Amino acid sequence: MSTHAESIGLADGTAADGAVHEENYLSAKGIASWLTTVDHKRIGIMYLIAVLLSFFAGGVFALLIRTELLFPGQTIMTADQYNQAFTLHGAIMVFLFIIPSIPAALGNFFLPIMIGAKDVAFPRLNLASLYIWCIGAVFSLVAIISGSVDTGWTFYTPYSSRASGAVLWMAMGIFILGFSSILTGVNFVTTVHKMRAKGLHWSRLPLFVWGMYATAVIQVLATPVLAITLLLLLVEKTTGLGIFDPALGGDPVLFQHFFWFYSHPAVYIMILPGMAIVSEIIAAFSRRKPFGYTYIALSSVAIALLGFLVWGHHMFTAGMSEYAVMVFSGLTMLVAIPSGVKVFNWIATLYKGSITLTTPMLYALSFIALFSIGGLTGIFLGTLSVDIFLHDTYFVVAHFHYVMVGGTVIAFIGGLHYWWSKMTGKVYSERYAKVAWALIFVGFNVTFLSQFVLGSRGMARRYFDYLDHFHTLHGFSSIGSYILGLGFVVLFFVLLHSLVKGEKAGPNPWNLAGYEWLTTSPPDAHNFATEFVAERGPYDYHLLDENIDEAAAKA
Amino acid sequence: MESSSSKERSWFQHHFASPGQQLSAAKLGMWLFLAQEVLFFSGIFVAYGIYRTHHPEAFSIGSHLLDWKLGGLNTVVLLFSSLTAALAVRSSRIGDTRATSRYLLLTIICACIFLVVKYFEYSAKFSHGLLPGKFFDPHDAGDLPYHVRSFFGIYFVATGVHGLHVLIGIGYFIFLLVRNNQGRFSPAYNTPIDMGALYWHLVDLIWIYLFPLLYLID
Amino acid sequence: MAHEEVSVRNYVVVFSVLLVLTALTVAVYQVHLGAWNLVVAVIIATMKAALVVVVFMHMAHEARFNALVFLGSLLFAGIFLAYTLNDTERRMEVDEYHGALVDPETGDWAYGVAEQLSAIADRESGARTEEAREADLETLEGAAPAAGGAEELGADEERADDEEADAEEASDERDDKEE
Repeated sequence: MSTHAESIGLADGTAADGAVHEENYLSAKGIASWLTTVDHKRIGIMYLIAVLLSFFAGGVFALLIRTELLFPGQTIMTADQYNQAFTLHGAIMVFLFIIPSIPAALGNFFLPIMIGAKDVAFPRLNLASLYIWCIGAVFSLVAIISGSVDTGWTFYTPYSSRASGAVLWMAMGIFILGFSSILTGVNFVTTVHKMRAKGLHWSRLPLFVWGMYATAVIQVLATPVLAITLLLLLVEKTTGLGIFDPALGGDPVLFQHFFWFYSHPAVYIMILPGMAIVSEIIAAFSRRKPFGYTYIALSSVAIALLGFLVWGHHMFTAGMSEYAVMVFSGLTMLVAIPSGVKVFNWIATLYKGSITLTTPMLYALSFIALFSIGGLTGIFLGTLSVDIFLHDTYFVVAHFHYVMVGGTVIAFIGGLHYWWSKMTGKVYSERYAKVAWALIFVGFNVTFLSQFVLGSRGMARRYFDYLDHFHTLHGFSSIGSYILGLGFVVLFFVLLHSLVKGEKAGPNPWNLAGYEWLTTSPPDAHNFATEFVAERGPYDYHLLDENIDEAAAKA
Repeated sequence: MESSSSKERSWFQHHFASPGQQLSAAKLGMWLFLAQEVLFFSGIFVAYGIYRTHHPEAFSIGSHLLDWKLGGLNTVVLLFSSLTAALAVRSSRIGDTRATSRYLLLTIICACIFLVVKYFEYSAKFSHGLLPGKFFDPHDAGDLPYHVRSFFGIYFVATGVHGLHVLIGIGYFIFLLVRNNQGRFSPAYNTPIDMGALYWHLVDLIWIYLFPLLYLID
Repeated sequence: MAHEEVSVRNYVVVFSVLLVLTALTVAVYQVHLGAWNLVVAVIIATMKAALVVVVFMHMAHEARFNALVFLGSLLFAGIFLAYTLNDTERRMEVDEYHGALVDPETGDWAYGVAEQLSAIADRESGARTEEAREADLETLEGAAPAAGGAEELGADEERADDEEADAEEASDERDDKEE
């Protein structure tokens, strides 16, 4: 462990003269300078704080759920409160945290830098997106405080069309949050197309940018359908429209179609950015050009487009037509192809690379393992005959947590470590960051591996109570969640300590080839002090090493 | 344009490398926004498609309760406003500020006529109890099949959301008119008018489909 | 500007064509085309839309990627409609037992049916006439396609009959209890 800390310290030391440059994007002081900023980096930081707060809130609900399930019967809350707890956990984590997490926070910060632009294409729209997010969050907060949203995060009718008025607030909040996501998407697609620096053609685009681009395409094309769905739900609730509620002559399965037309692609809004970060980290700490760069890049776009064709696999037991069920089950298998392409290319990148096990790399490697489990169990669930049995059991819960937490959250934290020094100009403690990683990795697996077993034995999801013979596994799962929670607390203090007492970071502590490492840490207000021109690819380590040799020779 | 003073080029945003880049970025952004609008409305069209195939007779009866002449009038009004919006873009590109103002004003007037006609249509429906959802209470239309209310539900959501877009369009065009009168636009820079017109044509496009689908069911 | 401006005259011509097409769509409405009504209406509307997009919105001179974005959005809206219709229009076409009142293997009530029947009985308890009860049963069976499917298949007629008999039996039993 100490060797890595030393190597960072060394890099920091050699780059100390580079850090003399004091003016950076954090220089302007005062609240107003933040609230009216159009700088993508500051907006990214504000988004980061916002999503981390949401993550905390969602995490508290998660721990409440697991504590309730520690013992059979009522433990700390009533069945109604339990319904609200899992609804709010889901809604907060999905809409307030995961969807904006990587794109709006890290993407906002790094996408323009990684394409050598001064800012995103529409900086004011970017700030507007943050404010829209805040308004949506306020609506959600009202729903949380009024405390009677208990439909599950999916808002299935007729639950939602008959539930209490608080559902109106939550649906309205998510409706608004959707527009924040759409604006981010419009901004990113335009930025990638129009704002690339000289010399930065598509085949030199960092893989993180490719992933963000694919994500943005989905955000633009899918999110409006969520908006209209929730709008129809709101009208249904207020006027009894009769489109979704069977008692009024509506079709509840139609709501599921509407909902999943957005929410399945939204799953890729969540996972593609995670894959994007992992592609960067794996290449960086193997010190080589990613194996099959083109395939990794294009598989992101393929996942984005295929993701629109498979939403029905959430509805196999909802009474859909058998033709639709068969078509959806078949198409679902297709998504496995680009996902598999990615996993194999990452592994091939590791092969004969010079691997450094830094904290971000540990997270990236965890991602590959956990995402593979999450993805492969997804194949089980996409298989029609298996899904009929496993539908709405803990198997499904474990599956999507392996993808969402084991995938996206792990990648998000990995990315946070990877770019921490660039964003804040401070070094974090590798040693304690690794402790946090170990706790998170172990805690996560204990929590959710046991849920695979629970589900396959017939434990249905969203149940307040369970039979005694599930007690052991539920106990494991709850204890795992406490370990996981502890891991996040340690992580929080590691990052806090770095902010307060961390050493200054050099511009390129790991000596990496990515474009974002060419600027100072933290970056200049205009990202690069001089106009950026891409003279080599972001993974051309052979060129980077040549430059270093030349510099050493000169010295 | 290179010789123009810095004040005249105040529209140029410095995170772009050139005005050309700024314009093409704005255009792509706008088309992405329009794509988003198409998918937003697609939900209404899907609901329409499913309920019409399930209940063709109810939709036919519901459609006959609407006044196609008013719908047709509104179609002509909106098509004309699309023409004036296109002409506004044209005249701003060739630097005819006065003509631009005239066309913008015409577009706003047409949009207002559209909403006034819509108001009369709505109030006629309200007075006959042809309201969405649980307020549906047709007291003098005879015995209607149950799903006529689905038709009216979709009618009100579709025209309501579309009307909201018209309202937003009016607001934006008033903003454009004020800006144009201030002399902010020139052949070198008329992007906001261009974008406003693109938005307005999309609102027109939606109505081109809504008119036959709602008013003209056999 | 990179291209020549379209003349005012051309815009007016396009507008006139749009008016003609609008008149045409109303004229077609007056002729009763039945199922073709929708098809013709959508074709005419699409012609109008194409004119607006290509001329008024200058798609003809637009960057090709912008056109792709817009057409792509139409494609995805089409996928949304087609896939959803593939479900709502074709439910229960393969599995004739789907929604059946009686489990065809055991002859018992299918899951949830007995509860539904007793709910109907509770709602109108006491003052129910024989006709009303039968009407209720008919609505329930009308909702279940098993009877319809059986007619087509012929061989399953017996099963449908059994179903009816069972339903009557059950309601009789409940009546006995009520008394």
